[in-house]
Amino acid sequence: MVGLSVGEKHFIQGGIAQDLRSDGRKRLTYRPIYVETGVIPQAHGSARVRLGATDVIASVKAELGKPSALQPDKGKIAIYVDCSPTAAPMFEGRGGEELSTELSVALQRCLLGGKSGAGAGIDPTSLVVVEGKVCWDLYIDGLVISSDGNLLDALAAAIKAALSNTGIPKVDVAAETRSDEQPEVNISDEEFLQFDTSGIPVIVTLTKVGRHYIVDATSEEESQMSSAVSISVNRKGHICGLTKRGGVGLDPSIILDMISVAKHVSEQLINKLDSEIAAAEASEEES
Amino acid sequence: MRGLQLPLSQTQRIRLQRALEKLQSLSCKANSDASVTVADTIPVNYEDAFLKGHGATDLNGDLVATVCGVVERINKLVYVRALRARYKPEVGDIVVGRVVEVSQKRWRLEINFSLDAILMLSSMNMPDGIQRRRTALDELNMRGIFEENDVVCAEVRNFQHDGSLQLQARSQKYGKLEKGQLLIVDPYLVKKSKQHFHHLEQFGIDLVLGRNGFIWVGEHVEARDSMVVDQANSSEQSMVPEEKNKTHTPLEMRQNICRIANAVRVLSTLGFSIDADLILETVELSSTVKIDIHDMLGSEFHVLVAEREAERRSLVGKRKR
Repeated sequence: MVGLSVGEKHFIQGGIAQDLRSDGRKRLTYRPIYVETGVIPQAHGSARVRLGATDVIASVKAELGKPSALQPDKGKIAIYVDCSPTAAPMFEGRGGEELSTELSVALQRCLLGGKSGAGAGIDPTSLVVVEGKVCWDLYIDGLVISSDGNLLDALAAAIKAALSNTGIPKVDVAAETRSDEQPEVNISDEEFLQFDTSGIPVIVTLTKVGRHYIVDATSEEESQMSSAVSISVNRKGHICGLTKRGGVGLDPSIILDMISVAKHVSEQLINKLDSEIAAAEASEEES
Repeated sequence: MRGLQLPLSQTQRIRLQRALEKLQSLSCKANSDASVTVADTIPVNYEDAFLKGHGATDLNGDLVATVCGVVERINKLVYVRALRARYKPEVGDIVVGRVVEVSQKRWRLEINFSLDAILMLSSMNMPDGIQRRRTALDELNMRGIFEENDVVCAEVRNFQHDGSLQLQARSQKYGKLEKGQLLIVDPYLVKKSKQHFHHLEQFGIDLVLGRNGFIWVGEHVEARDSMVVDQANSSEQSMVPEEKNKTHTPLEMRQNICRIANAVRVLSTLGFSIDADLILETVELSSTVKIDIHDMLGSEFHVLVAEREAERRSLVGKRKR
């Protein structure tokens, strides 16, 4: 991470205070989002999202497995993020592990809901094949290729795009099986089921610099932050998850204000993201 | 051009391709055989004695390029100058660098070169303006002049025996750059010209085009007599940070700074050489089209700039004939 001189820091803080950031954006404007789907052909679904210079890839792989005994009617979803050393030299070896764990946990909280599976953005009951015996295990992997701030938002957008690109193979179950036997399953190569991604939330990260919050901070602006709150909002305007980073404490009224700002921003973001994903899928079909 | 990562609609893509093809056809008259990619044979008269330099290697008796670039011939030396390499310094170049380390009697600056550049304490003007020998006290007060992470503008003085650079900042126009933003572009886009410091009067902005690809856009600062006063004030300023908050850059100047910075970003994405005239033209284009500052980084403006540049170069070409 390159350092900033006192003059540059002052310039950035002044820009945020005057609602004109270094690249001309307002405080609540996102950078142009660029989505590509189907970038990893061997995965069941994949997407690459570029947000300015931030570049992330998400891939979805599905495998047949056994549901857990406590929740026999639900499939399993695992989310894991890896920070590649190409993003920053400090990510080499185990350097990126702390950031990876932080991002993975934040994404799991936002997308997977509580321990009982309630309130999840991705509905695990749609993943079950034979209740109690066979279900789909989804492995969602995120890779950070280039980091210029706002990794959480980009990863959530990439996961949403990857899931809309995902085709789960259709499974035919052999009809007569005794209740204690593993049923035979026939995985079709031809037919795929598409996921319903309208319920998947997006994440809006609000970074507090001075007395104002900004959306979609670059890494320079993030170095000036006092604290950041990432709020996951779905299409209905409900909050699916909340994460706070940064050492400075926040007054509760500020958090409530940030939540309402995030709700307002998320409407535009969800619409923009959906149209970009649709455009990406359309161009993928052409090529 | 690196894959343009812009969401271009179909019409925009066609327009952009047309503009770029026009530019290519205009430029590629004399030197079409000079640009090579990896494993291209370099046309050389094998009977003349020639020396093969960087980027060229002997393969089965042919001279073959190992990098993508332009073939340069100087007397008997044939080499390939890579396009997207790190900055290649020449003596007298003006560069903008960031202080990485403050060591004994020198500052170490990062300038996008393979080694860090050195700025000796003796190559800096002293704050009180007197020409004198640097004492131990001066050495202890080096942080008062430049600290870590400061952005500094200087001139290349010479190369040292181990290949590293020495810089000098003796004139009033060199020194610390504050109140603005630093942009990083590829070094090959900034060509050597007579002037690298531009004071854009109509905006009140300083534009420093460092040949190493670091471009500074900031508020205009008068020539450095203020350095004399700074020494006395700097200790006060560090104790009263609230004072600084009251002297933020005014909004209009900030808008101009952002517009110019975005113009540089657009030109760098499109791969056009960056010089002050082109930047001013791009800014004018953005004001005539009445485009929002942030929308300058969108696809439509990129396409407009490419078309404008293609038109301009074809006009220049026609005038020459």
